Amino acid sequence: MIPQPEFGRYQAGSGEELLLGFGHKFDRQVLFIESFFEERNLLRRTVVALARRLAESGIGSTIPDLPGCGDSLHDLHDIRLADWRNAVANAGARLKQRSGGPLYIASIRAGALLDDATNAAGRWRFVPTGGREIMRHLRRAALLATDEISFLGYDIGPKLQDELELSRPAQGTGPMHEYVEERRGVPLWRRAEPGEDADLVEAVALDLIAWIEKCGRR
Amino acid sequence: MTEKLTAENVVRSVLVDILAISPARVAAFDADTLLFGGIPELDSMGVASLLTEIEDRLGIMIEDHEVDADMLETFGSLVAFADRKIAG
Repeated sequence: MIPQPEFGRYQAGSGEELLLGFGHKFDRQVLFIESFFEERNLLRRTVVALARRLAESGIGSTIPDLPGCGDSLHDLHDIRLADWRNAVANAGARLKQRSGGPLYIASIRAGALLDDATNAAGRWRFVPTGGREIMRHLRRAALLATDEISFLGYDIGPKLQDELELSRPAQGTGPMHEYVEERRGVPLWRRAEPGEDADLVEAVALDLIAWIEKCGRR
Repeated sequence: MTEKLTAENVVRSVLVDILAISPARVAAFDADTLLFGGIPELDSMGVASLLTEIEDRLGIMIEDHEVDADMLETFGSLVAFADRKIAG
């Protein structure tokens, strides 16, 4: 049976944000932290496919909208890195409270910048990158733009820009595993249009599941 | 047959992979083929992805100040730029 999505809300800052979940009844739960801006869109289908695949293996997961992203009512312009960290902490606490079992963090690309914002039994990172790389890519998109739109239309406030420029994924935060992909054509997050790669989803899901199993045996 | 890893081959393959332009169309590109402003697929996002992918495949670093309309004007100007970067 195909795992069905569950929609929920969690507290973040002065309001609530939406989240998408799968398999909330399972003991083991994964909190996904997506990449930011255009990469989030390009990888959204992949992340949801991963979440479904985990549920097929008896692992629940949650994909929270961060403030200023996705369907959030917050204005991205006002968002600071601390708001995102706060949101991740709240989403993690909610998940732990509801499941009572171990929580694992699976971050996608620059989502790794936030993966130490909540306690976890283990952390897994999909091709992690720093904030500087994300900003560099967005700046480049504006180099030859003939209109006034910068950062591909994402209204990133000056403070968040500065914070991202200086942010690297944390090290030494406990059990951690990085998935670094084999080079197979252009990465999904660098394409002109969102794409799908069922083989990639399967390979990545098996890597994540194996990591969770390994953490559980410690 | 393995194609030689030249700047020209890499730029061609990146155009196909990043901008989803057909290999046949890209194979017909010559030094005078207009790129930026000439092919609609090369928008703001396309420019950023194109440059980053060329960096990765050729193992070079492209500085922001090196990127301008002249460098991306034609297929020939982009290949010449990449060649200069490889030569150091």
